[in-house]
Amino acid sequence: MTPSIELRIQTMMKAMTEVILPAIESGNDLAREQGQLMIAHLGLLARHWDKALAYDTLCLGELIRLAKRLCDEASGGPRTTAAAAALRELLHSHAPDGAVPATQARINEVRVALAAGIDHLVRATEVDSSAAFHAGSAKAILDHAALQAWRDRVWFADAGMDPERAGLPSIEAMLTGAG
Amino acid sequence: MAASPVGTAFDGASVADPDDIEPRVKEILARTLRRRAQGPYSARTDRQVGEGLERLFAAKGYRNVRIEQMKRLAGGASKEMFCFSLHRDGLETPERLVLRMDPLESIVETSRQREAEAITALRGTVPTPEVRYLDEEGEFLGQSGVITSFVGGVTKPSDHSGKGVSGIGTNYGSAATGIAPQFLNNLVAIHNFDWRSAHLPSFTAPSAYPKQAALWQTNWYVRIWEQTAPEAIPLVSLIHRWLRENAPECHDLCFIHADYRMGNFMFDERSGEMTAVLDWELAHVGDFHEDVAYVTQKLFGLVNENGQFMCCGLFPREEFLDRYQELSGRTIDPETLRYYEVVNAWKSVVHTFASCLRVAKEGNNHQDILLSWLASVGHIFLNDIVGYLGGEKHA
Repeated sequence: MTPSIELRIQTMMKAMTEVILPAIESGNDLAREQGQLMIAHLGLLARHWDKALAYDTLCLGELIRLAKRLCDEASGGPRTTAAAAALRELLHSHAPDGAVPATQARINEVRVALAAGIDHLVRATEVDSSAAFHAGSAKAILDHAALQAWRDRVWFADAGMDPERAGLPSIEAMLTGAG
Repeated sequence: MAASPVGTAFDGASVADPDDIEPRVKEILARTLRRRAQGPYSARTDRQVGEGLERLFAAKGYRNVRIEQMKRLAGGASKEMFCFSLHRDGLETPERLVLRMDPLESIVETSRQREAEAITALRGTVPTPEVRYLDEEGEFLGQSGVITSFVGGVTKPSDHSGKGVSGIGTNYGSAATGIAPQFLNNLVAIHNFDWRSAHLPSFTAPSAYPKQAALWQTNWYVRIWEQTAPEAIPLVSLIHRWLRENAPECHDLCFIHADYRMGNFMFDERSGEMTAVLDWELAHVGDFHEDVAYVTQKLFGLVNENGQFMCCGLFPREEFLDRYQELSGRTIDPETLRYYEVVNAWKSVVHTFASCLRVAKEGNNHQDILLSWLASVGHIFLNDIVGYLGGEKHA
């Protein structure tokens, strides 16, 4: 048995709240604010740590679907078709058959690569996209972004800064699709 | 508003030239890259700051300089700020002053010279502090800094129970009724300011072609994104395309504050009088829709007890827009307003997902922990942009 991550976060928060923060002199506003932020960050880490892999897996799966949709719909001149071919190659090498990698490090790597590939394709659409793909790429990206922004807002709702957080489901409900 | 074809020339200037950026802003962008390599950065100690101030005042020829009652000001998300009392020969009573100093890199990279010029030019038009000293190159302070007079007042009610940073989430309570008309009057006064006759040598007006006001903002922030963001985001790629293709024309160039919101002004709690408009670092010449759209951003407002969204905690959106038009005599174009709603929300995405994350990762700020915390609000802006661009928000 080892001390769990929950326990370590819990004890750090208690030390910050009950011992360290009260010991900061009253005029030291910077230290006080940063101490409060440490407590807030630790609280969010406690909510996130055991769900982070599931969350990042879900998000990357959606990004892969977006990349495939863009590749399938791409049409236009040589810049657009070349950028679509490059993205298709990225998908083939990083996510064969749409599979999401198993490790956090690899998930991050694939997300960065695919997002860069999509960026190149969108830039190419400014040069020589067909009118249909100009509109279609916007629709595909907005569809993906609507869901992704909602998921990310749920993920960070406990930061307390979203003015509409009252209408968001729990992280657990979002991850299971029950939100 | 019809979208212009990308790449077509407009009065000899390409509307899609990504290098078309206000000259001083372009210099700041290059300076950012030079500074980034010098990190990491640690918060300056009171002693370091005091020694820097003594060097600055000695260079002014002051004798028997003493810096006392030094106090760091917390609450901002951008610069290191201190207030202090200056004692020296020739002053009968010590002068209370405020130092605003660059960390190595911050959420937004700007020029203290431009900020000083803007404050000085607008003083008398709206309440501002007085610029007393400037060390643009950090020759004495170690970092670029501007020193202004101390202005009494608060940025949020002293009984405010909110925990938001940088003034976000401020509830003005019963003071809102008195603050709202002053907030509006001052915004209109800034826009009516005769910038053409003012001494603003670090500023250039985007007057080469009608879309330049919009494209200077777009190109500036695309450049920040490209040289700062840790990774691409599909919606941001689409936003860049949309901004270039839909830039509106501007035929009424105004002086723009560009950060006019709750938390960026001071008021006297007893009289309710606004005592200073703060944070002029992003000011520029541009389209008034930019400031109007900024006031309406979700993050800078709150939902009141009746469930109504209040822009900057002061006005319902439509009331704010109507009263602005009535007081300014300007007509708000809905499509141009939408463009700048996208611009402003997207700038906040750049601040949070590019600058906050990159600067915190490099350790180049005095409050990296605040920047990594603020980064989480980027999703709120992306969600707003989905709606502005005609997408269907997920609910």
